[in-house]
Amino acid sequence: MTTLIQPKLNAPKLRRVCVFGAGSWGTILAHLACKKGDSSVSLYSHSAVEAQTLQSNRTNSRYLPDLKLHPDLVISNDLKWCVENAETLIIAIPSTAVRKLCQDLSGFVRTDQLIIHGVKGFDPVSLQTMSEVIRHELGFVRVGALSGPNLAMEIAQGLPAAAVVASSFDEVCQAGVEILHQKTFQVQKNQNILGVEYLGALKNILALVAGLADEWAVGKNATAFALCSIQAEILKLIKQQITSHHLKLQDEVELLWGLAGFGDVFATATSLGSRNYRAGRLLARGHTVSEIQETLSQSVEGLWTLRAVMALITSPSNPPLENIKRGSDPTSTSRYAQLESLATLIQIGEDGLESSDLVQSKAYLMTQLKLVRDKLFQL
Amino acid sequence: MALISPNSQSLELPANAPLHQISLHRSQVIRDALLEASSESQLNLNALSTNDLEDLVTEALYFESHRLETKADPVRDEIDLHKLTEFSQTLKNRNNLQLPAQAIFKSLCHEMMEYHLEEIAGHFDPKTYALATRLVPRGFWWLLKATSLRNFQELFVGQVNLRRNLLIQGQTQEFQSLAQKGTVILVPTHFSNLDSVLMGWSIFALGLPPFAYGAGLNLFSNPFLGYFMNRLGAYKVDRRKKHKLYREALLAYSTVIIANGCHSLFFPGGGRARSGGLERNLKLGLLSTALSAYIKNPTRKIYLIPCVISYHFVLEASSLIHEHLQNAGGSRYVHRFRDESYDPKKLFKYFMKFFRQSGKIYLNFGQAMDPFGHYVDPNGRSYSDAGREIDPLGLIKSRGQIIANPKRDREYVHHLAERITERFTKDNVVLSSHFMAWAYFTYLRKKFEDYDLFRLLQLPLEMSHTSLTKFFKFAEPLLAAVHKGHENGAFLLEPALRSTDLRAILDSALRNIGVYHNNKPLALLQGETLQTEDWNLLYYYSNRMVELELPMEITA
Repeated sequence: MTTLIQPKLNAPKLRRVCVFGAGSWGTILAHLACKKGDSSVSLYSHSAVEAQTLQSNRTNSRYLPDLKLHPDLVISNDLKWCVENAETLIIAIPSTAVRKLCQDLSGFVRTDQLIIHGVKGFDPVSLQTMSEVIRHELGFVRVGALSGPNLAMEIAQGLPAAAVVASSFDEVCQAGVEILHQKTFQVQKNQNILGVEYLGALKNILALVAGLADEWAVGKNATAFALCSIQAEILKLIKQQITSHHLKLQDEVELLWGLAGFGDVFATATSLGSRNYRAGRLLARGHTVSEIQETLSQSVEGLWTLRAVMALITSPSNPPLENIKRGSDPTSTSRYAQLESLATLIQIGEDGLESSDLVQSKAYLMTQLKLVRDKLFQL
Repeated sequence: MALISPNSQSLELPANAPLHQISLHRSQVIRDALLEASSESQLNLNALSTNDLEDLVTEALYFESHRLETKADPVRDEIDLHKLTEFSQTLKNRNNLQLPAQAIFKSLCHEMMEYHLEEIAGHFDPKTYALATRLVPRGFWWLLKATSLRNFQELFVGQVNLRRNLLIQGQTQEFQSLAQKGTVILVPTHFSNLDSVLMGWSIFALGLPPFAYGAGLNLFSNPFLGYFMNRLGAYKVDRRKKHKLYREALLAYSTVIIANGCHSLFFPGGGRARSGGLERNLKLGLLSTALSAYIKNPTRKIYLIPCVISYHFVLEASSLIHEHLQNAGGSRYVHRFRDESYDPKKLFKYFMKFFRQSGKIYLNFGQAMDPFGHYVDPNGRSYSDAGREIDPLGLIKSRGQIIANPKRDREYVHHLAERITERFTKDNVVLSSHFMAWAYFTYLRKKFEDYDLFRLLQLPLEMSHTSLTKFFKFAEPLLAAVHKGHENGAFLLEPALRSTDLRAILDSALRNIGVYHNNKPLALLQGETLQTEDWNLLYYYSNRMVELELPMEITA
């Protein structure tokens, strides 16, 4: 029988918070919330052994070995206890696990609790954003998304960072600020939760492409061109999806140029601290998806996101993108081909087939990127 | 499906029926509504600065004086003008009143809202209700029966199957059950002035007590209608009053009566749908009063029931589409219109034509939801989309306390509105006439694809002539898409449209769509050529299909 760890709670503070997920992001968020000092914070890990180890060693040796966990942080694997002793729930787990967590939470969660997720990805089956998954499972609860250029390793080193908490509910944004905002971690508010979620998820693909391009040394110019080309496709997708939700992302240039857009792309598309970027480089070296996951020892959201994007693009209910695929615009065709080629590469990587397909796919993407480079030189 | 039949006796109205109680304690209700409108969650009068209060007063005086200049209702406007002069005098003489300006403005806000509330608040008279429940159904029954007869003898022998013409269907049992468990708010689509009559009839036919209903002030001017409406709990809504104090007074009245357990009816789309399409952008004002009432009295649950009304032909179609095109097109729309909606002869013709045809009016009651848009079961329990039971009470709590939070509540109401529009699509019964008008208009738009909408609508009628063979070839994939959409649960179909025989569907559409209008939106020329005799009407009826989720791209 699993041992349930119910640590003693510290003296009550302004807010009671539970962070779900003891990976690098969850751990750093729980640590930051404790450091801020206004909240009683617990960190949930589904593994009793992990919870016990974190509680006794006061460090997350697997993901953030150099970080000494805040003394006030309590760690537990008791889901019910964690939920019942919190007013705000922060979810920081892979996108593929969010639905299951919500299903597990549903027995204990209360509709007066606020939920903030820091997950950049889509549900692999329904292609919903994380807030949509949470609401599908738990009802129209007050939910927010935490996003931005946040490399956990840098934050753990005490380097300054900024994030955005987005929700159509002001009290969720306010909770995010009150729980996390501090000198070295600035938290801004935004109302466009869907826009922030889409940007956060889709930039993962850009980081993958940047990793691939850098590994193949096609040059920074060609890499930038490739990123812009793919981003153009992604933007079309965002516009279409968001419009269907009665939001006007196209008018929100600030969002694209803000922390959740440009800021996040800048940090993750260029840094070895980004899992997605490193995954792109490993993919270019011919590693399989499982090898990549093993090497990085964490879930790589970009791989899932790309698959979700391909599913959205090829969905029959997406006629404008179908038109692009059919080649109504020759430049768009080549951009779509790049995305498709990338998806094939990942699919092959996942299946573990080191075959001529991989070489062919890689060669195709290389050709595309080189064409882009040649075009740039001609210009 | 509920069978409509006339009750031999009127419905027994319990003495404690909320609508009756509201009327008995009308003064108290007005006081409560005044408190509600002034409260923190609404205008928050106590917290407003002198400047903000002054803005409220001057805005009201400005809009009211403009409204009264139009002299739309001379008798009533005369009384309003007198009162307006009083308010203006108080404002002018405020320096002589030896009171702080803030107190004077606040007092004026109260007085103005109280004045409006006196007009808004309805009356209810059980005797009139008993009379109406005897007379109206019988009258309606006889009208139905007389107009449905194939020969005169049938008037005296046999039963007319009323299901033939007027179908009340959908989640009716759930509706009845929830009306026992909490307060029900009916939110139907709105295409015609006939909607209110049909909704009132269906509420009665389902054995439910009377509902409060916000009726346009103009309807009370009619001596016959006014007599009944003044005594059956209808409250007055004056759409010409545009200022905030009136709006808040109206919303507060609705909140108070719902919180007191009065079942209510709103048309959440506001006025009648001008375009003929299903409403997409709902008005959030009255809709928000469902949540406000729940916050005010959380012990009493509130349920919203969407209802979609489907007509083969709409009484006011010509005037409605005229208004829509005028608004959308401005100078590009050429006026060619004569109003045909309120002529009593036309009204009689409409009823006679309607009930003599085999076509039907569908009143389809959809799945009930709570004020946050969660579906509820017949026992009134709320569920997430994944089917997990949830407690809606927590959603109005912040840090453990039930509070009204206007910003938060606006989000909930937005979501509720989205869910209602979703239901409008899903619960919509697509009729053969809707389908044929849409398929034909889509064909014509494709044929004249270089023309924009307004140029198309001005084309000579002969340009619409189309051979049936060509049209059927074009309509075939559209019909397949509609069938597929129906299979996917995106909307409902009337039985005539479930066939794959396009000719039979066209015949059904022609039988129904053209019976009322002088110029038919869809007509057959010499049995082989399809044509329209009125482009605008064709466009109006085709719009009913526009918002449906069809599993194909329709390039118009």
